[in-house]
Amino acid sequence: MAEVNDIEKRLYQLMLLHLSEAELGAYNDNAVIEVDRLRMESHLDRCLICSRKLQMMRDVMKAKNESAAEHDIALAKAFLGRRRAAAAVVGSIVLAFNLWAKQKRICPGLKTRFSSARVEDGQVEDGSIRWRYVEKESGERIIRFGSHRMELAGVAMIVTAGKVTRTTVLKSVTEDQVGAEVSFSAQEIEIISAGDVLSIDILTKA
Amino acid sequence: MSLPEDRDALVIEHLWLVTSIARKICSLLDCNEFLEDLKQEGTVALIRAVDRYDPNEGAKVATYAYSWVRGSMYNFINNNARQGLKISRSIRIQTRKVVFIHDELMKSLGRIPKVEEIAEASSLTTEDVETSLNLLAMSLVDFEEVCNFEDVCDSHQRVVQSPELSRSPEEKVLLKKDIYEALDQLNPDRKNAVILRYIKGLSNKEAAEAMGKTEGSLKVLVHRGLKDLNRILGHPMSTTGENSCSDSDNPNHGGDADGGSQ
Repeated sequence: MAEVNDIEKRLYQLMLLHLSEAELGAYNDNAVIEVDRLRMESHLDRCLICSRKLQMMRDVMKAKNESAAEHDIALAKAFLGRRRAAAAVVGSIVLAFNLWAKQKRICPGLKTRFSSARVEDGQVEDGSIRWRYVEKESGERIIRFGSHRMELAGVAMIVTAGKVTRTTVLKSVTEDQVGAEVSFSAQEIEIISAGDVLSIDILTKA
Repeated sequence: MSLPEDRDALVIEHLWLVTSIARKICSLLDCNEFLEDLKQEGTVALIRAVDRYDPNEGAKVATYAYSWVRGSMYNFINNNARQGLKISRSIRIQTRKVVFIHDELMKSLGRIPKVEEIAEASSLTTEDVETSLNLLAMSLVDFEEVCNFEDVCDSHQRVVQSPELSRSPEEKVLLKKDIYEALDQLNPDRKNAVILRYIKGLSNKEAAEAMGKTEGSLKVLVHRGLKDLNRILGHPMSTTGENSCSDSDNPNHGGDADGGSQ
């Protein structure tokens, strides 16, 4: 009978589990399977906390027929406009950077016999986004990005050199400038092949 | 629905959600001066939610976006504690106590505990209990936070985590998934009997009436259903076998193997 008691205990625990926000939302929308609905109702019959949470959610949802205020709509449209502008720009950054890196043979893994500093600058066609690639004598490689296009704040980029990748996010560095920096250490350079050209890609907007 | 214009329209259509949640939070925390800030945070979160919304998953936009919007305002509150928007440490400790006492009462009473009962058991006022319940209702003090909050509630008493609170969200999902999948493998009568007794929480008499069977038959169904679950979930069966009628409380009224109808 010990095994049956164990199962009874598990079923009892299932009934006691507090409901997550997602579960309460699905329950409120009547979008749960039958057995889950029974479990949730059984729990809600016993739990003041989850009942209150559900009631709070329902109270919030009662506002669904209310129109948004004009200034709230204007704010949302401003945010949406910025995002659309950013989306149009990000594609061009990737193309321009990767072409530039190929043309300039920006290969972080390439080591000359005599270590020396190297600085290469690049930008998109209209100059609105710029970058600088630095090879330090110590072996470190640094890539810096900068732009006055504030709508790019939050854009996450992945910078790849052979097997090594870095993720960075464009952030506001001053009131009118966003920037980001990635670096590859001298140790990491050792595992990057000499022929691997630096490249970037854009992750989803942060 | 994947065109950017469609998604933009969805955002504008659901701005009421941002305003509604922001107003609720301001009312709970008495912080109307932060209403516009909260709405701004919530609007950005709504845009992100709509970006990720997939209608094929079945949730409504408002339901899907609710957590995003509320969560962004929760983060704003936590990040601006020094600017006067704060849920004090004492309130968080109090809330943890309320949750623990509530859960203990829930188990012992088998029904919803009343605010007065929680207040009495936790030596708090009903107003304090209501405050904590409202913060929990809007997830302004989260369960996870309450679980990880290592503090002694009274000077002489350590609040012990209840097992329900100490489960991670992943453990909870697995517990549910395992049992539901196992239930699906039972024969319909045994499955119904177990669900009515243990998931819906009916008494033997109520479950028997719901199924149109005698109490004795119901108990047989439940017992066999539990043994089946045990076997499916990986515990060894007893040596008496599945269809044995050797249990002393196992009436056989003829008809089907699991007992007859009333």
